[in-house]
Amino acid sequence: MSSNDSAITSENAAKQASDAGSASRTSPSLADLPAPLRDAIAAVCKRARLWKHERADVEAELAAHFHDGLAQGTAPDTLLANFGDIKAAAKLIRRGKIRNRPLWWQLQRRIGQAIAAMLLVLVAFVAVHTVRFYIGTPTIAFRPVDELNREAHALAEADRAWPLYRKAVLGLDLTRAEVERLGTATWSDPAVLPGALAQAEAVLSRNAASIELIHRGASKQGLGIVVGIDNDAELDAKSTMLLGYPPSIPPGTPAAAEAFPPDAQNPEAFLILLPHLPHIRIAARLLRDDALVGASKGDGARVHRDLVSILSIARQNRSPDTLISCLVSVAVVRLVTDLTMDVLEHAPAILSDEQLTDLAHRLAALGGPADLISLQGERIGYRDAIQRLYTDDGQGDGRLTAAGVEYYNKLAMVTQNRESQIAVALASPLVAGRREMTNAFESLFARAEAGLRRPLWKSSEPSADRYFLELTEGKLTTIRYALISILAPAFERTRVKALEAVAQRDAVLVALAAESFRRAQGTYPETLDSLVPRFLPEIPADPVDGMPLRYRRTANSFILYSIGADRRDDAGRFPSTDADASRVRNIDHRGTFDAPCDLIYFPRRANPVAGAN
Amino acid sequence: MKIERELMRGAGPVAVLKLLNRRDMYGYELVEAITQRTEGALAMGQSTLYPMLYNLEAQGFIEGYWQEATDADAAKNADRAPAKRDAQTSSKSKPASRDRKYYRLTDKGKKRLADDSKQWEAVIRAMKALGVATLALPRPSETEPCLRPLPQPQ
Repeated sequence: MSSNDSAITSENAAKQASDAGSASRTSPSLADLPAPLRDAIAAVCKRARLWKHERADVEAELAAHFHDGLAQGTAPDTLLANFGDIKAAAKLIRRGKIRNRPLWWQLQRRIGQAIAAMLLVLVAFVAVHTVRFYIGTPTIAFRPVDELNREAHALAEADRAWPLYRKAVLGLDLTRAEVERLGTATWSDPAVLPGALAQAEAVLSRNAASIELIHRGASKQGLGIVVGIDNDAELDAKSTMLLGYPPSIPPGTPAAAEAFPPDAQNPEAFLILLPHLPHIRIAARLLRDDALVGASKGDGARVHRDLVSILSIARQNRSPDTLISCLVSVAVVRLVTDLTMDVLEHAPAILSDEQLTDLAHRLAALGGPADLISLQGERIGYRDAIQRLYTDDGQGDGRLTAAGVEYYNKLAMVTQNRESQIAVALASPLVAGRREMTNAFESLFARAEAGLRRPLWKSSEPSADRYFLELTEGKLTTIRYALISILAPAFERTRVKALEAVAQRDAVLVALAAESFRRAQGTYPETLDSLVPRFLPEIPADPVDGMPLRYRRTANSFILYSIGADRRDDAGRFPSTDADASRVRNIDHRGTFDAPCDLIYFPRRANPVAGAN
Repeated sequence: MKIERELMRGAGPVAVLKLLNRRDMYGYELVEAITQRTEGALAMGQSTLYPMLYNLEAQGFIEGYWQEATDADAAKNADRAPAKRDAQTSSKSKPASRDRKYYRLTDKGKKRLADDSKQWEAVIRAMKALGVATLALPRPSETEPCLRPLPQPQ
């Protein structure tokens, strides 16, 4: 049996036996040696840091060696000199003895060394990262406020609508209840319409000057509002009166806003105020009510003028180009499409042929969802956040900084994402670098923009929201892409809003064409094919399945509809309950259900005379 | 002439194996034998020899055992096979006081020695061919008489 085998198989026994016997052997041997030799052996054994039995073995062997030397008549000094360097001897002896240790110990040692090496690498990484983290400073060169105001600054004073809108708002004579009622009067309920019209007329007559100013503003080339972080005290006071709150307060809680004062030299994108948005809605609703009153009085010119102005407001409001502005514009466009449908249903004759055509052209010019929704403002926001979080190596990359994390945590607090705050020293090595974060944002935006160009029925492709979840769902990725989790908007909901608005607009274009056809032919068309190409360039698609929009001729009118969220054609059947109406309207619905009705675009209410059901 | 460290690193173990191929030897004996046989060229202190022995032991080329030092040891050692084999203990077990630790060549060590010898011969031939070494290789029989045991301590 080799010494290695015996060492492995009876390691403990041998160790104990050696330990027990070491004293009986080594002590007399060592004691007989001259002090320098004894000390040399002791020094070697101490430095070699051996196991007890190994030490005893080495002591005994070296002692025997010196005894042999002395027996040969060699002087102790010569023996000591021949011995060599004690430090080197101890080191080599340790190495040699360690190689003789059992396999399990060798493995344990290697594992220990590997762990120690990994820990060392980790500590080194963290140390280097921490130093770089604290010495790094963000390079803030990009000015979001300039980007957002670029279009406004390019407009001449005379071409700006906002000064007129602002003046109109400041001159409004409305109670908060009247503001809440604006735009809600509907033709769909004949029982309440007269009362609603009377109230609307009262409001309109009190605010005739403001309405005129709004019309004048709508004729301007652009909105021309210059946004920033300074409050418009006069407008805020008016807003408080009309809305119950001043829209100029920074986002988040007042306490958070106080804790996070804006950068006065270069205001943060997300702190830039958009105080005009609520007033844009008020202005559009005023005009919408004016159009409703005009329609009820048979005043086509008034209706046309109001609708044209509302569309103009929607267009102007796209600048500054933020997502929230786009969504407000979409809501404003919906005012026009809804009212146009009401007019075509209840008083089609009040609009002249030219007005019908003009409205159709203006509505068609709105474009598709990608024209209604712009992500430019979101891009500005994330570019601003990136520049405040990271260093910039000039090549598109950079590392997270301490100042950046502080900024991020304030951002999370102000945007009501307190749970997304990250621990500076611990989590920062896990956060994606500048390039990676930028790429993730760009991928997200690319998907969102592709989604805006993709019809609703083509939903198999990966959506921005799904990618967002991929980036932010896991525990580690939540930290890695923390900035995305607090800055990315709800892309899919935005997309569906835009798609719904476009579908509604498309239906209005068909209804306008059908009315033009009736005026030309004396009757509504039997099928939509008759409208193409003279009255309609092409038949719009049903937003749910991509088939041509559904149309059914009735005795005196027609029904224009989509099959609705249940994807079943119920021949233009109206919902009989509010629940059914709500379900079929939810065209983005992904589940399977069946509703005995369709999504009716025209007429806007069930009309027994039309024989819809 | 002292050999440079790098050369010594290759030559030392072979020298030890070669000496142990003749008979079992203990540390001091090995130091003396190497010094004598190589005229000091491969002389090494204990600080080099013992770690080298432990390494050779770890690699399984040699194995150590403790044996009591007696006057008869030297004569018996000359016969290669130790007389007190029954009294031997492994290097890990308890030796008696006044013991010496002997080393013997294992089968693995013998194979290694044969391999190393061939390599050294090839190196020397190559060096001769290059004119670096000029001495003739000694015949194996020429080495035997010189390996005499050391006198035992009184």
